[in-house]
Amino acid sequence: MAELAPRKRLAPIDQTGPERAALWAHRIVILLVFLMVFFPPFNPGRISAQISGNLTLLTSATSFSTVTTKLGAYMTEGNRFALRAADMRQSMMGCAMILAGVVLAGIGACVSLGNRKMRRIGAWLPLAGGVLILSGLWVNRAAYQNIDAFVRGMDLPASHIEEHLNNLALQWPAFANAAWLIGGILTAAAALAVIVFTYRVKCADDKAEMEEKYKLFIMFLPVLLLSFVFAYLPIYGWRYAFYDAKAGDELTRDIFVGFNNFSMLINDPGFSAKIVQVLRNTLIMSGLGIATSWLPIAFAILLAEVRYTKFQRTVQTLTTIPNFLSWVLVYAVALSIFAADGLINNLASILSTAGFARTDYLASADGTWIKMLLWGTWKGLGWSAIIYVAGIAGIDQQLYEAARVDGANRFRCIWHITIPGLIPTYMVMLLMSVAGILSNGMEQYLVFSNPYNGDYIQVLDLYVYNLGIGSNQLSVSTVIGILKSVIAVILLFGANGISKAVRGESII
Amino acid sequence: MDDRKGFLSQRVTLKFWQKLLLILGCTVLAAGAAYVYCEHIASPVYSSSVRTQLHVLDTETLTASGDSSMTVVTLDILGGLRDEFTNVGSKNKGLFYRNISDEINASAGVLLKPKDIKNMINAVTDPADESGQTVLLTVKNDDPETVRRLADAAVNQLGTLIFGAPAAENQAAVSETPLNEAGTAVQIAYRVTDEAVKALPDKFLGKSLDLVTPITAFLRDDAFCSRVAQTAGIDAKAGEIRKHMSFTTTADPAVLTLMASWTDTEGAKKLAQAEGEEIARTVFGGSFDPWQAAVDEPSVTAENVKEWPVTPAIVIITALIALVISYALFSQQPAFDTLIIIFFILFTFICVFPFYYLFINTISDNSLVAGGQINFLPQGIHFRNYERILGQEELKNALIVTLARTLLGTALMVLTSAWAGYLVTKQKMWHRSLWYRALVVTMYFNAGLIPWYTNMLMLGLTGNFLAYIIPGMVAPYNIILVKTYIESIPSSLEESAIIDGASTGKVFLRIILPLSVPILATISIFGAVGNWNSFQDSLLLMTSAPHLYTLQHRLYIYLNQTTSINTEQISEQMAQNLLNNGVTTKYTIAMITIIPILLVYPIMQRYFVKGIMLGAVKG
Repeated sequence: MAELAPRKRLAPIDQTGPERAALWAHRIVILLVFLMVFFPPFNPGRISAQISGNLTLLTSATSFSTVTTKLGAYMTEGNRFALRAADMRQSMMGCAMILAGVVLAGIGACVSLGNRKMRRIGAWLPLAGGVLILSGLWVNRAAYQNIDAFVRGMDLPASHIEEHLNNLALQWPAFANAAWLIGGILTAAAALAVIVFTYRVKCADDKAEMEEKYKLFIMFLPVLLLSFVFAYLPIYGWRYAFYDAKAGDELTRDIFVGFNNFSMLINDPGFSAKIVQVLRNTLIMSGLGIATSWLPIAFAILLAEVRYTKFQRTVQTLTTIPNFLSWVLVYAVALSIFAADGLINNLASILSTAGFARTDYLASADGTWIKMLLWGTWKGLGWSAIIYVAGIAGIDQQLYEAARVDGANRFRCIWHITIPGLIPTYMVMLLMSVAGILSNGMEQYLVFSNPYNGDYIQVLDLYVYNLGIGSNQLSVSTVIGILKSVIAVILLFGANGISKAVRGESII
Repeated sequence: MDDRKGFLSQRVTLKFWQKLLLILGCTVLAAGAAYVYCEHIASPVYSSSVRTQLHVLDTETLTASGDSSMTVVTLDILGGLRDEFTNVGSKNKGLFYRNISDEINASAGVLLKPKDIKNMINAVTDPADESGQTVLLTVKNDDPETVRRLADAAVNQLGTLIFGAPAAENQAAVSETPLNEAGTAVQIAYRVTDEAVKALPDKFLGKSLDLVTPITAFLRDDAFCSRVAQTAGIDAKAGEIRKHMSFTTTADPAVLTLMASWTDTEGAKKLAQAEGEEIARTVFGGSFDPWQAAVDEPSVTAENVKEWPVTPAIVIITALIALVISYALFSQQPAFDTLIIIFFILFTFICVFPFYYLFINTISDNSLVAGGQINFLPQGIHFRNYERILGQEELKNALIVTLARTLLGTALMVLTSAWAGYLVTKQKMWHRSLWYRALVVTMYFNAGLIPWYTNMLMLGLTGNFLAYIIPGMVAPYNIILVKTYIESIPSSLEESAIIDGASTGKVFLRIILPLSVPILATISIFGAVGNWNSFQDSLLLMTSAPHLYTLQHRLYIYLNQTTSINTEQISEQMAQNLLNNGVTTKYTIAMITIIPILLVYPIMQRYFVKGIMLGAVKG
């Protein structure tokens, strides 16, 4: 690197007062603008409650079918009150322009993390973005006005027009004005930044570069964004818990019920009895799993005792096959063996002497918990044992030799060397199981549930599913989901605390 | 060798080949002895199986006979149209009110929402008509003209819902009675004619005949079985007879398939005939006439078949027992070792046998499978089942969707995980630990099913193939695995590349990726299996797009079709398949889902054991 001649200019990454102000002003605005993309209430493409009612800008801009889903009858050909597809497409294009503008502004914000030269180049991007947003809003508004005019121009008596407009809930969207405001502010901030960087700051000769740390961050940003959209954004759905909503409902003020749903869970005898039953099922089945969590260790230890490696490997290979099946396939296997036309019943004439009657074993409530435990074991034993087999392989052989010299037979070796060697791993697994005691998963119980064993097999996750999607009680289902998430996190941190206290290490 | 004592270990130490010889020898001897016994010494018991059908023709007399365990077919028009009358809010239902709304709004310049119309028109089954053929519609509105229009539209739509088009005169009789003078309330009696009732599809039948429960009870009853024996002229005890009779239902609740087997064909035929006649007699309260029930001529399904594949099964079982005992005796292992080996063989057998069973049932002759004959060995091998199923449109679709998802989704997930895992190892990243923790927290914290679903809805991913790919791209667990692995790569490699002027991307592509192949192989296995087995997202998100169902979801739908086949969800062809070859079809589809995993499995197995050891046990 050449020596720098002493210069009076500021180093490329230093910032003067006005620069800093301009930078932060328009970064914050861009961040706010980004909210428009993912939150339905801020979606400027929302022409009415019927059109793009509960959609994000992302969807309004990209998916024509989703946008027009709710319009149903109004979009059919030959219906006198049909909306024109052309207008809807215009609205979509407006939204697309807004989206493009937001993306440009976002890129500009990323670029602004670089040095001064980059900031100067980058300052133009939010400006362009702002202009795009404003134009997009204009196009959207024009689309709306077209729809409005078309409706008003239809040959209807005046009273019916009002009703019709009410049906479509066509009203000037509440946030469109705010969108103008935001777009305007963005453009203004961007313009200011451009001015500052072009005229107040001298950096014509610098190369455009960015610090390593910011570069890495920007490369990581897409992953973060995906994670945000699919893992954090659903939290916005928790608002359903505070309304009395069914599928397809708009969440309006009149169905706002506050914490009623929460208190209903406790006060309503029907619900609380059901929840107690569901919790009982969940805890018992998780408890059974925890009680048999030593089985993989036993399996691994026994396997290690067999001297023939080929045998060991074959057993390992074959016993891990059930792990790679989905629960639907396990159910298919269960049907093939235990159903009324399955293996056991086919052999009933022989087995009847052993007491197996000709029945459908799956259609009963007896021993549901044990059956689920057995299927879970069948599926998971070979797989869980692998971890412990690897653990056993990692135990120092010298310990065994020393023990043998001291006269230990092999059971004592196992008890005093192998098992203590595996306990740390086991503790981690155990703590994780305890932390996840409420989350049994849904698939296993869904496929095995039938009218006979419903009361015994319904665990919390399945109950949430049945309530929400089956019985269409979205709100209560969301409430239960919220409580479950919160308790699960508490349990997790509790288990982590125990781990830290006992082992000195955390498990997450 | 340590001094563990086994049987026979005191005096002679056997060499390996000697042990092998002894063990194999014993096994073969035992197997041979069993074979000779079965084939030449024991007298074989042959049996023949026949099948016939029992038709209950007169279902009305059944009610008259007062047996409450059988219910009778009644007409329930509104019950069959339940969805169209109740779910006014949802998309595909509440059609009665929606269609009326469309019909009126289009023609009359009135603007009524389906919900309003539901308040104006009330529909009940006329209690005065016992046959359930009459529906009473009450129409009320302040405007007589609207009432008129509503009434006409209601009549048209009711007809359309029942018959597919507004009813013709021979299909329904409509009579109208005004309820007040102003003409603001009107009652319409809509009576489906007797002729039309006969042609109505099954969904309008409010209750159906349930012969299964009573007949199952009969077959358990000793007295009944004795009567059957008497009628058939067979001298045997009730218990013996019971073991040889069974029945299954068919798509028509009034027709049953009866199966019987006996030591010879004639006896089996007599038994089947007697079974049918006795059932009919008991069901009709003591005697029956030819127009009330009929038993078809029994058809032979299997003749002179040994009652169960005795010889192979007994030979195999004897050989196994001999193997175990001779191993215990001659291998000179401690008893404990022998026990362990037996345990593992049993457990492995349990893990593997179901797949074998499924497989032989799909390649054997379908009627043998339906008769429950195929248990250990395939008979009548053919591959037509696979041809037939793979030719179905629905399954081809599901297969393509699942395959595309597995390939594309896994590839993207692996790339993203590798890239993210690499970036996260760079200490220099701005607030690296914060972002890393934010990513990892999502593994433990789950916002709930409904919020997840509404999120997908909001993002427009329902009914969209991308819902299979995009959310799966970020998998924190895999990112952790990759991160841990990359941290174990000596950093000198990276550093020298950076000094040479390589950018982050180049370092990643040229150095990190090639070195991370083991861990990437591991996570791609997990990802691929996860994608192939995916069921929940298809179930929840794809209700509006059945062509995007995954293979597992399709399997689930078919597995749950028992006697009543829900033709909403599956095509006509598949419904036919299920009716004719129910069990075989389900098994075939299951095998189609399992076989790819089994084929790829040996390759996978090499990697994931290593992968488990590479990835931190910390989870």
